[in-house]
Amino acid sequence: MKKILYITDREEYSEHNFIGPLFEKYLSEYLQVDIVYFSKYKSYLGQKDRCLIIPEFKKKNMFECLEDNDINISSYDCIIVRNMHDVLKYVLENKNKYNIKVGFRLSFPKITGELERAKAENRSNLIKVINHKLRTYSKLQLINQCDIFLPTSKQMQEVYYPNVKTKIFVIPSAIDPQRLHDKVSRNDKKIIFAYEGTLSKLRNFEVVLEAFCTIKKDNWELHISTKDMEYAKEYVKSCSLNQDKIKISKAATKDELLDFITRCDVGLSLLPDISIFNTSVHLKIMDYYTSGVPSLMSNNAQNSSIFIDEKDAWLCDFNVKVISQKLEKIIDAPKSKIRAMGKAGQERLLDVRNYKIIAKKLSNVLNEMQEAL
Amino acid sequence: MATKHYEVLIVGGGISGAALFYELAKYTDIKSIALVEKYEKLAKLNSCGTSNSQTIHCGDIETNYTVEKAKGVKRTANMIAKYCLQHNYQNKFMFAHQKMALGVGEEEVYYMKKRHEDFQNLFPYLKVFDKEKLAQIEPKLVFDRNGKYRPDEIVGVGVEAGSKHYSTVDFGIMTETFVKNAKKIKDKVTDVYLNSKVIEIQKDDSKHIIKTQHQTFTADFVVVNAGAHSLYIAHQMGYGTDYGCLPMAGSFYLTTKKILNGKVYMVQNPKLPFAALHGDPDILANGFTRFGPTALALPKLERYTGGTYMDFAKTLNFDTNILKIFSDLLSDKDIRNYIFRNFMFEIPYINKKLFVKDARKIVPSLELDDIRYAKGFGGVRPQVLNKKNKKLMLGEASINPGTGIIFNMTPSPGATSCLGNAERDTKMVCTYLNKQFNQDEFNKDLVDED
Repeated sequence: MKKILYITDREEYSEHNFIGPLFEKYLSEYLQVDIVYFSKYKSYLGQKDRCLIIPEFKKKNMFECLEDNDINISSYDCIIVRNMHDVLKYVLENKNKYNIKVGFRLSFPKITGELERAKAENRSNLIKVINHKLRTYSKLQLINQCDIFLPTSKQMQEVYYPNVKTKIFVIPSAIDPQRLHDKVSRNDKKIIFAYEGTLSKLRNFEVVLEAFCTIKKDNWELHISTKDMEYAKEYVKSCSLNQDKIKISKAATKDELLDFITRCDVGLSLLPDISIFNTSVHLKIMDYYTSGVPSLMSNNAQNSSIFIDEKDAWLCDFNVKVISQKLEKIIDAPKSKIRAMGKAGQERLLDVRNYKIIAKKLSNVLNEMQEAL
Repeated sequence: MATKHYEVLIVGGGISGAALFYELAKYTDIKSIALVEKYEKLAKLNSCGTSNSQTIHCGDIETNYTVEKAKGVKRTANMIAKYCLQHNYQNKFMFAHQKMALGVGEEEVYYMKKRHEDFQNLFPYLKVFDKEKLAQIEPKLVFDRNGKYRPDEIVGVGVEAGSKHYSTVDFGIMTETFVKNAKKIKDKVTDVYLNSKVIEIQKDDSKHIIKTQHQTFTADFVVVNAGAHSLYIAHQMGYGTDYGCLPMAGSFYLTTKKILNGKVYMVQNPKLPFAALHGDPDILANGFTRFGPTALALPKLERYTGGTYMDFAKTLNFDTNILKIFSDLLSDKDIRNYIFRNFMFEIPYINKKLFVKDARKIVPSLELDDIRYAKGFGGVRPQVLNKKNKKLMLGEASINPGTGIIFNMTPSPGATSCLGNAERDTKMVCTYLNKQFNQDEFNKDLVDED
């Protein structure tokens, strides 16, 4: 296999935490990889290195748009679609016309995520449940027409699409060995906890805040980096914590985010025990360890398959009492131990969740797929 | 009257026709050129200063352009500035106003900042203006009716006042200068015929016969730059039957006092072939701000002149393909809402209220009494419908059957690209007639070296 087209659901200027290292960088050492992003703002197709930016309103006829700009669809050996059901359908309809292999990348079960969010916000009803089932079924039919299915974990596939018959290759979240940041050392005794990412009713961060309310120790702070700043401020206002202990910010870029994390001591990745959170290791955990910062994370099968409690991470169940106990333990731990755990976790991930290694394996699988005609 | 013969005859005395007239005279060895205009003066319709935004669109603040598209547009836009500087027209009818594209809200602000990074090499003079800076250079963008900072995030990307980047032109006067300067070229026949409506064009062996109201001409090559009527004439001759024309009229609102210091454009809807609502200091109205344009489909090919309803009906070239295009457009919620909203902008009494609401995205403190409907302003842009592809075309269309005649339809931003389009057509004419185009002299006069 020589050339693939990766059609993503990401906007042209968004941070590409996964696409960037895996597809733009490491996989392109083995294959030519062109990546399609869609733009809400552009009227014309744009090209930047190997990235093709297609106007979003041309999504339904994107091959026509590409061909109008002298891009030969038949020159691709494989087209991989990320998350987009409608685009996958379109590509599959043209599979024979262009004689291409088709793959589907599932990064996160969005259809189920929508339903879970509706439930958390008390908006769920029978119609939504039926709609969810129909959409999931329809997506499964499309996946089974593909040559390869690329979920984030085997568990994700087993839980959401147990009847997948096509070839499966798992592409988990990982770290980029070329993008490691050094942890910033501090001499004070304070432990700074970091939380980065989305805040929503579904994530139920109130449980974590309540846990902080119950701890007796005083030498800690909580720093939150989220795009949901207003939501975060409301959350924090409503709890009885000393507001001086909590800082809320929004990192504009990935580098800014990693920089923010390096100034903290421990990263938080505590999420409710529901399947959409339990079927993969969260990207925020990768971000913490990229910056050499160990994480307090949910005790689930995915996390415990990589990390060992008290060795390179802290694992705990999602309830106030247990979280509170862990927090106290962390605050009491010497900083040297915390740093060592961060380093150990980072090394562990470089062994088992490394984009450079995953890229090589993926290229082998794609080549085998091409040869097996 | 004896038939007069020309090597090239141009139909249409607007900016496009006049630019071609000028380039043929100045940069080729073509000896006789005629320009035929149906009205009593040049630049009567869309090229007139009150019919357009007077903007030189060079791609720097057109938010829907890719870098590649902007590169092409920049080249032709810079020709406008070079032409005017060559003849010392700066600050006479070409001006360097402050200008910017404004992002409002988190998403647009993020996009504008990222876009600026991408476009920096192509337009190194562009700057990013945060709210504090905007409060200094364009305060009306920043303060609400209570004199407080507007709550939403905003960012401007553009050039400040005092820069040497030319942004504004009276294309009407520019049209006249093209003709005046063409006529100065020695040893050339450069005739202009006003009040000469073209009735019919026929092909006869190697030449074309052009019948106007008052006389008949023959020409070896004809270029039809007649705005919305280009396609009408093409259809009469049996050409361009794969196209239809949807005339889109644009209206403006003038302020009753000076509101903006420079041009302020908004982030464009990429599905639409014209700019989003913007504010410009009108050089024909004491620098008062002109907001607009709106966009309304009109069943006539010209605005503020009588008739042309039948001409529209013929040029629309209605069939099931056209119906499909309309159906596809109306099936898009954004486009449907846009059409409805712009229709409402033309209804007396409610139009101003609705328009002010939209314009407040630019000037949050704008009041009803600050603006008035600009009667007599605005023109009609011929949007081309491609029946083969069943799509509304974004941009220009040109029909060249290879028989010594070209028909050009140039909707907005046609005026900015007049010299670039004329260069293209001049080369085609020269190739056909086996004449020489002096590219070196052309480049020296009109093309930037970068």
